[in-house]
Amino acid sequence: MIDSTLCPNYQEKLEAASVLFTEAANAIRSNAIPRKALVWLELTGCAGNIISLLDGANPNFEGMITELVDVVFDNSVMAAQGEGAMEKLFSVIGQDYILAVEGAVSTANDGIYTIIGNLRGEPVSAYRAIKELGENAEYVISVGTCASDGGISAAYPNPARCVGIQDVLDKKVVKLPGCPCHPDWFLGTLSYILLYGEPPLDSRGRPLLFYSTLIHDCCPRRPFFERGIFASELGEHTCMLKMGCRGPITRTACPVIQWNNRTNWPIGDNSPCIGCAMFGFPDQMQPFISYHVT
Amino acid sequence: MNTQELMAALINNTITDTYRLIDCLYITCNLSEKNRLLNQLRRNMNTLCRLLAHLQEISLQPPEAPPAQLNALPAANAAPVQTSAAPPTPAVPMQTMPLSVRAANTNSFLQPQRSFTPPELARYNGKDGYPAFIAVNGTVYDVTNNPTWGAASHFGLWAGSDVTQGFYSCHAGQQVLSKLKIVGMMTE
Repeated sequence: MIDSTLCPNYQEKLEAASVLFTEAANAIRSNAIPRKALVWLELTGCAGNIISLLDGANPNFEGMITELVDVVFDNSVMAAQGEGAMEKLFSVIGQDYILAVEGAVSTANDGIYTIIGNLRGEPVSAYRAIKELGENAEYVISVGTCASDGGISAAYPNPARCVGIQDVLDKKVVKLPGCPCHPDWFLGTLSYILLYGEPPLDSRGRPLLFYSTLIHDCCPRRPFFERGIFASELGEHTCMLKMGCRGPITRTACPVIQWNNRTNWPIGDNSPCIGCAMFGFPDQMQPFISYHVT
Repeated sequence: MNTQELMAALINNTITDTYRLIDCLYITCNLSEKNRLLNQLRRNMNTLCRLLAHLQEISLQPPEAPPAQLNALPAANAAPVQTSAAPPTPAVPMQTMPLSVRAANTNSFLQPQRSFTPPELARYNGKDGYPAFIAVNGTVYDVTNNPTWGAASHFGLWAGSDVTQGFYSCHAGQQVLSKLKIVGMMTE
């Protein structure tokens, strides 16, 4: 483990989200910036990103809802249900709100394959929700690989013709891919948006704050790679490149921030990285595991 | 130091390093370390090929022509001027060059020596001891230990195949191919 007091890159990745969160919370508390409304939409996905957000630690979900934003709609955590919840959702149109979206958008047959609720007797498709809520939002954040690039929802053969939300919106989307998105990436980006507006993005619309250096660049197994010492079976503690590790092409800080309150991460558990935060996941990141590679 | 002296120094250093690598290979038992040393040995051989090619190019350059005599007109009975020059003599005789260099196109020793048909390329899929080769625009590259080609695959592209279309859909205009090792050319 790299001593964080020696490596500024490591320190920055470890603390970026919590520093931004604290700054945003202080600014809101002192009325330097307004407290905004947040709408969280779950579209064609597994709802894994709200679960991930609920597991956030320093910053965490409790801090978000008490100190950062007013959560107007989130079907997993809100008290309202049924038509009342749908009324609340569409009531934000015309006001300032930040829209966070997880899950792709199914587009086949007018989006009938994902219905997120009913409003005045009419089913509300994911497609209708993202079009109406997305184009009217102040900022749109796609949370997770499915919302960002289609992800698992758009995997072959994709019978529902699922796409990432940017494909159906004219409005610019800040993309936070990941399967799921790490709570640090969402809370850090949300804090930055509240403080300063749109963060610096790379050519694929991802914040450079959280999607810049490769996993390979921070991987504790890098010395094995440099010496050509490769694992041939799961459970070996050497470089897993030959088994299909996608660390060299995945631009996240998983080795540093890890998951579940810094408990562990895939390579730390002797499993190769499958590139879940990359465009093209899952189809183009296959095979997730491979043997007998030269 | 002029160009030839510089070239000679580079060749000398590369040969010295090659002897060192051979000495290490004699005593290395670890397979991974041996592979690493062999990779370095291959790089040194490529360097020597490039240096020899540069020497060849330098030796094939025509000598500078003397300044034209602007005020002198040719005499009426003077012999016609020879318009075709005799072929230049290479500075390094062909017979002393390594076989792999002689076999190459004599206009450029940087051209790779092996040729692959599509079925031959398909064998080099990075599995079961075969290196991982890919073809882009007719040139065959070795991506066996390239970190972006984990499990001999890259964003849905597979070693042992022509990936020209996939390459240009993502990397057009980028300096990617120049960093890869060339191992041959595709033939029909």
